[in-house]
Amino acid sequence: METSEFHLGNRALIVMGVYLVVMLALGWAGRRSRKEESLRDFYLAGSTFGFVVLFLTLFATQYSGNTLLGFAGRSYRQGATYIVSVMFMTAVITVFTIYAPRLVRLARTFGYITPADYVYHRFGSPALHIAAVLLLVWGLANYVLENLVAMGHAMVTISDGSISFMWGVIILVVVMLTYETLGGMRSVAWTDVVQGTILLAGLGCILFMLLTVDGGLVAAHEVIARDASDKLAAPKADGMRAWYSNMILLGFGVAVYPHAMQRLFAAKSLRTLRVSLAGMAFMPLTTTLLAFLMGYLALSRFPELSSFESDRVTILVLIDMTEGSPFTFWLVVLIFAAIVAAIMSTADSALLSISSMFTKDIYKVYINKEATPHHLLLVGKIFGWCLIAVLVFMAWISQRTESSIWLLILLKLEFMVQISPMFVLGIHWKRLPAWAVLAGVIAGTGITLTIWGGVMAGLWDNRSPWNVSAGVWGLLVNYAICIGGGLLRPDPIDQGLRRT
Amino acid sequence: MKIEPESPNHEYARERDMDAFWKAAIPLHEPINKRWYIPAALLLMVIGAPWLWPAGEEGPVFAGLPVWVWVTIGASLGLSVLTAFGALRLWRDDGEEE
Repeated sequence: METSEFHLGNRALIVMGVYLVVMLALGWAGRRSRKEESLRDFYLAGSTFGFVVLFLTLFATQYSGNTLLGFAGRSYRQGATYIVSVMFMTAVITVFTIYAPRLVRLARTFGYITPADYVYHRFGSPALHIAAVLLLVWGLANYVLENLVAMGHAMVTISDGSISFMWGVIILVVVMLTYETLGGMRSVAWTDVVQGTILLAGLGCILFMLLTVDGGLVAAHEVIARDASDKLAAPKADGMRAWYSNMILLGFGVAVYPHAMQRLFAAKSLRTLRVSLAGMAFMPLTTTLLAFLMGYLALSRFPELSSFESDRVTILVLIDMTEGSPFTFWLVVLIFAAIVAAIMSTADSALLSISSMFTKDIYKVYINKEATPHHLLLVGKIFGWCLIAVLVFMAWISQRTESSIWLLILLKLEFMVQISPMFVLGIHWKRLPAWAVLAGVIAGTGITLTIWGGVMAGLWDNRSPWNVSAGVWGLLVNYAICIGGGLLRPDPIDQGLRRT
Repeated sequence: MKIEPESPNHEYARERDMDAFWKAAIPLHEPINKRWYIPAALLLMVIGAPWLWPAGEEGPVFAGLPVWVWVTIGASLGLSVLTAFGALRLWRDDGEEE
């Protein structure tokens, strides 16, 4: 076992080195291809993405290290009921098809760069604008943090411990920030093309291995049915509530990721965007499903992992599969590269999105209204480096506590999902007033915070009352306030502009 | 549709012409124009949820997974097809099909 892991580390490190050099080269190429010094060119690549770039950047951004590591860990802990992950990731694209046709049209007409541009334009409320930016930045910063932690784990495993967790994080972060600073969205999307391609190839390898090595799923099922049959059972009533809670939280939460929306803005044409989204609708069946199966298989191989250890089941299963099978060695190296690619491609997109919102929605509006594009770009880049320094420090702190990756996702999504009424409802319903949306956001985040705070203060011990996440309770109240506020409002603005 | 040059920040504060906003917002065709689109998506989500199966039991097994898991996978595939159809066939706009 030790010999096998040693060889994996040495050769995998060479592959990783080549991969990182290619990423830097693409960053440089992105810089050389810039058209002008403007926010649109840096943060949206001048809206020039064709199908291949758009599809792969959407794919690589949507599916992160968390999909391959965190989702597999969750499948391991929860068992077969986590198949819900395939459905909610599909529902995300369905939600896109509900609000994106209008948002994209507005973005192209009025030149939006960030989703918060829409919020201000639609509602005209600085308070709501700031609330939306804060929630989005909070969610994205957590998202980056979660991927930094995943970077550290991946590098420790690839190097068999010769690179420490923190050095692993720092090496990948420096490479990532360098190519991002060089070429902005263009570099990020071009690296996404490579990363997405590696990810697809890696997923193909995972599928091959899952179905063929050691009897595949059928053999795994026999062991699980014998040792952990409860993990195969259809959910009871409380499990069904958790199922629907997950569908709502993830379906609406992931659909309002600002870095995904900015990719919609970056499409060269509507046709490109429509075809890319149609392709994305099928990706849960290739990506999320495989992460689920990885956790399922791990149940038969590693029955006694702690919650913290279970976030590494993908890595453990892959290492286990390589033993005694030289043929699978390079497949596993490719899969590790795919995991790192998935992590980096998501973290860089989220970081770029935070930087764009800080620059365009906070700095330019509330701090320095007269700033030139050159000055704004410089501020955005410096802010990105400072933010990542803080997040790397937090990743280091996170290593001192037993918090699983899933906990970080929940903290992210439960807040971020509260902005969904602004997009899903606000873009279709003219009567929805700003005050109702703001009241809904305050109530939704307040309820979520209260439920989480009560657990932290020891007042109660359940973050999901009645097996429904705190964020979903908040969201239900949020939507109720929005709908109530809209119905209370007189309807003058609807006159003369009804859809024909 | 032409993309406007980069707009100065918060031009919307001065020019919140909401008639122009709503006029610009509505595409030629969008999936939710079809009254069956959202109900069909919800129906697939309901079919995919394992509430019809005996709770707490594995039930029949096929190819190493409980059949109820296969049903969820099948419903997800149905939702993928519906969503792709929505994006490709129910979403149209003027001047975009270059």
